[in-house]
Amino acid sequence: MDKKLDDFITSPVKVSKGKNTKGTKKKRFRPTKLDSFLPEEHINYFKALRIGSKKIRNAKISEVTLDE
Amino acid sequence: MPFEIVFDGAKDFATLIATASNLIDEAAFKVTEDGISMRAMDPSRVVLIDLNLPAGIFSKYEVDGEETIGVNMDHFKKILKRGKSKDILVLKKGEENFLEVTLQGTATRTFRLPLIEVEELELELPELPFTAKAVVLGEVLKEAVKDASLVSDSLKFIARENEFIMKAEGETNEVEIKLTLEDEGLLDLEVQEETKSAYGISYLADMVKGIGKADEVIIQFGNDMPLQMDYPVRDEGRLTFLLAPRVEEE
Repeated sequence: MDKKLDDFITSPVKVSKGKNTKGTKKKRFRPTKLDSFLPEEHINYFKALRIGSKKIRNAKISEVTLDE
Repeated sequence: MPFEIVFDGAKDFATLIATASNLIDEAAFKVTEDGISMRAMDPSRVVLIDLNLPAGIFSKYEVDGEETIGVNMDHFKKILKRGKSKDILVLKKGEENFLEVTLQGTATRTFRLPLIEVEELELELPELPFTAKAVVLGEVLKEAVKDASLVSDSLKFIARENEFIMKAEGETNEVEIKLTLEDEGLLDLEVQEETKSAYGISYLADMVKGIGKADEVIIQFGNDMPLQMDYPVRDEGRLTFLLAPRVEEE
């Protein structure tokens, strides 16, 4: 007599979350910034560059000429 | 400082700028008699981009003096996207603070891009103490990043004597791409000590977008150090990315 899937679905197999196949916990990585690797003058230069863009962000691109 | 610069194949230039502008929203372009260099960092200061285009790759290069101009990359990308592969791209600037971008093809279309006032760009890219250097085919790197993105949000680079490994571990799955000097995809490998470091896949995916399959990509990194990725632009030029690492949480 054919068995039903129910026999298997209800069987006591537990799926454990967060463990990979070798049973070791997946390593978590934390992002870092270039601030800790580059000279301060580099970081300060790019921080200063950001101030300029606030004035320009909404400036309209204008198409000047269209010669056929 | 007025200048006029002509680049054949507007589409190639557009791809270059699009690759960069996936990560940054504004950049400082330094225009000198030797060529154009561009440096920028993304708003969260995780990746730095350094582009170097010597005068030789342009079909016309009239520059008298030196100037650093700030460009909104989103604007610049939108304009360049209008170019066809056969179009000729002309970048022109007069005394005003505008960049005139002209696309010459079946018609001649000229756009005016407002520029940002920025300080002179005097900074050289710092030399970081990398302990591993691998030269891989562009195709290998692009495929590895795609493979890893199925599994995780970080990709670990591991370099040992004669072996370069890219590995991603997810909740339940893992993928490992191993290359030795016998493999066609690994062209060179220099390892001072066993070197391991992990990087964010979303950044890597943007960085490899503009790479050609046959390009030779130079990867340098150190233990829990930034990754430097260099690849050629029309043989003489070079696009460099410097990506901060992800470090294991204690």
